[in-house]
Amino acid sequence: MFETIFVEIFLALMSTVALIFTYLTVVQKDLVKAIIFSSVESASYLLMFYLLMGPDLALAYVAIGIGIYPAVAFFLVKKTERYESE
Amino acid sequence: MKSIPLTETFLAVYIILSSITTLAISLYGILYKRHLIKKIIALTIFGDAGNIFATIVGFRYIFPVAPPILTTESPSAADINSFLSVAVDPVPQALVLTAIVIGMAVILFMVFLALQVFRIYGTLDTKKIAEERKRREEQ
Amino acid sequence: MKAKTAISLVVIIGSLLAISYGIAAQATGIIPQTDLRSLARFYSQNTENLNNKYLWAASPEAVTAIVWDYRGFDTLFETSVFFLAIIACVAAFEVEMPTRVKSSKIEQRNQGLSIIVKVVTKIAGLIIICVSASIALHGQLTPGGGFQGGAALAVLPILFIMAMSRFVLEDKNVSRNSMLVLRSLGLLGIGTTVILPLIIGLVTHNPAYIMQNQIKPDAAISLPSTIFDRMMGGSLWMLNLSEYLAVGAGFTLTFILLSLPESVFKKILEGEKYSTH
Repeated sequence: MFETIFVEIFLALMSTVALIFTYLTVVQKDLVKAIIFSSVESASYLLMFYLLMGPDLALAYVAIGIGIYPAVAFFLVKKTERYESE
Repeated sequence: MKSIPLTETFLAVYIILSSITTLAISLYGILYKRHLIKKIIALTIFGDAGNIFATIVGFRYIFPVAPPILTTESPSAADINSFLSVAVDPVPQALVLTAIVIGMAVILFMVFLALQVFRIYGTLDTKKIAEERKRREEQ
Repeated sequence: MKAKTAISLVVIIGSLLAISYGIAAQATGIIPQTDLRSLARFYSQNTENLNNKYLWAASPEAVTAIVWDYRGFDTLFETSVFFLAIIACVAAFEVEMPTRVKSSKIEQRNQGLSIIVKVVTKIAGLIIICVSASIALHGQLTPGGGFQGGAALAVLPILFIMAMSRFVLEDKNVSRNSMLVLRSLGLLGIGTTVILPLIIGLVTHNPAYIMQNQIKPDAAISLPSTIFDRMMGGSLWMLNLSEYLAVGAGFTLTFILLSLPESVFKKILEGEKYSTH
């Protein structure tokens, strides 16, 4: 019965990491750093999907949360402004 | 099988509450931040937190637990029964797949619209856009 | 803080705390459960049940069977929502693509990043194509499927635009019009697979349902579930292949539109004065 405790502790750890990085994303003024924090949060959610026994969702989040959303957001930041004012 | 009452397991309560707190923080980011790109980033986090919560609803709190995929080529009735005793609920995972695609379609369109707003008004701060619109209307 | 901000913050935090307290006190049922719900039991039991061939979906993977067979219409309309979003993006950026002369080899060597990055990108591109095709085409046997494979394929044009310049893609005929053609071909594949049982039913004088995968009690049409002793899942394989093509081409189209340089748009915006007031 000890294996369930390890899985639960890892799930709680990933959930806490996601919470911290969400807060850091919302208060960050440099938009490039905010995008990178949001992709770290997406990676921690990806590990949670794998432990909750959903391999299809983990595959989808690898491609989308770490590949496509940051790339599109970086294109947008390059063409507009980088720093959020005041 | 006896169901485990939720308040006896502290870690399960903690995981659910932390995912709802992430939802709340990203909702604050959508409503109270002024830059359009920050709103778009907070909207992606909002969608992620909602999907995690839906998958937690479909999880099964036993040990050993397995994903909902049969691993034998031609299963007999005994294989299917042992599969049913360890498998996780597949229905929330199918619904979350649909939700991911629709969320992505909305975010892609919003990025294009934000680009067009920058080309016309020259800034992406919603307060400054409102002042610029008022200034152009008075001219 | 102003009073309006304080009141709205209190309302948001209060409602979310109330919802989380309600969930922790089991107001919406015990979460997470230890027993399968009845709908999940029905789907998991019948997804590859060789005894009851009137209810099966011919694939050992329950999630793909739910997405494309048991709840196929949800996925059909989700695909059309994605299609509408891409069409809206193309319509918002409706501009004449600039004509340019094909660049010579020397100009190509000077654009983009260094030559090590270019060679590694080409090797990685080959690997990306193989892995994404494998994810998409094995969707009825292992975790994967059309959408996951298409999203993995969409990383390839990003790498090419960043390592070499965007115009290398256009020299290889990957332009907006060709990606629109590929996307329409993928959606045509989905539409054909949905209507195929009806056509087979018309030819052999049998009733049939739209988007039918296997045999049903009052409609005796079924798409082949094994080819050369490999489980193919009937219509699931064809739907996965068409969705892979459609999603990959759709994302490539978005990146081609997004990476157009701003100088082109500035010329167009300065050509017409602000005429919207």
